Amino acid sequence: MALTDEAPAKEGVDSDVRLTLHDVTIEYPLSKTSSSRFSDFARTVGGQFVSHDDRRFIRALDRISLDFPNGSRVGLLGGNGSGKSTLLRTLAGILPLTAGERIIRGQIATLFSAGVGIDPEKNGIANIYRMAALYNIPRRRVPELIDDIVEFTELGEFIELPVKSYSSGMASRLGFGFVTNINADVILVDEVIGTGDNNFKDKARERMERFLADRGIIVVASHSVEVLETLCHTGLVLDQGSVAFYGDIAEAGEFHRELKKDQKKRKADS
Amino acid sequence: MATTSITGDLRESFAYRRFWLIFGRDDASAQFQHTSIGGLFFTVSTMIRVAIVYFVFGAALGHTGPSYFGYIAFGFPIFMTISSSISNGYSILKQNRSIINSMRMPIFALVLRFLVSQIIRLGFSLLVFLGFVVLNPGIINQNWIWLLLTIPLFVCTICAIALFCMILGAFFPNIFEFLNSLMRMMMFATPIFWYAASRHGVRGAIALYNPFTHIIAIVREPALGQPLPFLSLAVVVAILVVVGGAGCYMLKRSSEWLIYRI
Repeated sequence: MALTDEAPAKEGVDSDVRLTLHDVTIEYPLSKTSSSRFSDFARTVGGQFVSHDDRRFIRALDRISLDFPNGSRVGLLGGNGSGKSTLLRTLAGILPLTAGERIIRGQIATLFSAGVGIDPEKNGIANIYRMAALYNIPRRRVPELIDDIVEFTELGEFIELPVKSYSSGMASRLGFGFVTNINADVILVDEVIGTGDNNFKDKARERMERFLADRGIIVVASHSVEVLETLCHTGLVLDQGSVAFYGDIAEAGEFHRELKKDQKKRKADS
Repeated sequence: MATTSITGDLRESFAYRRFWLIFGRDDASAQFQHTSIGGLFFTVSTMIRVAIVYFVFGAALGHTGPSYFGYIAFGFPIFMTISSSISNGYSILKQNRSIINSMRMPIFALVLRFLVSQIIRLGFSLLVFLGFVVLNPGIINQNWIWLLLTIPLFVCTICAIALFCMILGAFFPNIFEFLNSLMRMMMFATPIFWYAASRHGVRGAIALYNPFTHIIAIVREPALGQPLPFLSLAVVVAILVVVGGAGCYMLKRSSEWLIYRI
């Protein structure tokens, strides 16, 4: 049965926007011969080792079914290697499915790391043009984006400086300010918000609320329950590639804390 | 990562043209951003290399005169572009790792990004040849019309080679050392410093059976005011069909799974 976020669609919003996974399994293939051929993804994921067709795989997601309708704001929780990043990349349509079905309705913007498309040698404005090209945003929209991003990021005159001179928080704000400004229907965020200070977290929350007032689905993965509680109303806890809990974000946070305690205890016992 | 059909990937890549144009331009400019002469850095560097070859190899091989200078000034940058599309094409996926890991992007757009950066570099490098043409306008004749056909054919061939090497590199990452060694050897086995027509025996056979000879010849000969070598034209069309076809076939078979090969 698919786990559904029952958030009502907002008035005037395209109600077709939806992310659905049905019995989705993701397995990362491992090389038979060399550990150096371990892919970037498999290097950072957890899960079970499985073998079939004379090959070894890491099963990072195991028969996951989810349905996020328009208006969903979902926080992904779980330990390292629990499958959060894999789930986000699956929802984004990046990873091929080993099994199951995926339905993506709506334009997706991702913020999986602060540096995608950013050239540290170029200044903030040049990088906004680069990101606009990366996301296929019409050039005529860029000046208006720049004004809004400068206002949101509070970068001020720093926008004229090379991004390599920015702190990690400033670079995160640039990336976050961009993806929340491009009129995507779905925003998928992996950890990036956690790198900012409290002021940025407040602004990020306001920005997400504004985004949701207009349209869309937001899925945010973080280790920080506190961050997710301010941004999301539904929580999904992953453990070893399976859904361990799905429901109210506060309860999900509590479940996640308990799960972490249990895991620590089991580790200590063993 | 990308659409599964080749036509879908090509169509989507065209929609992403601002990506590959801007990122390709920035990739090229990244190599000269710390110099005060900008893109002319490629021109100056080519000028120095051509001059060294002209005076060192030219004297040793008994080739002198302006026509030899023009021969090197055109052939050398063209060879470097082919060489780069092979020895750097294999790492296109790795260079675009963060993009591939973060969003759906048609794979062919990544090849076009690489192609744009190569063409910009080539353009600046060929300014040396352009200077030569300005000083020797006599080489401009009706054979230049062939360039309207052979330049696009050359660009398509480079693109096909880069696509093929990109996918090959994804499955055989250790190929880099081999390709680098091969390219060093090919520089001397390809008629860039020496004239293929003046060589017989083994050297002549190396030139004849070397595909680089023909890829270079279809653009260099008309640019030097010489007739188009139709044998070379046929060989290059065959290379384009075979290498491009193999690249597209491999892309179709593996496009979804390339993400696990980065």
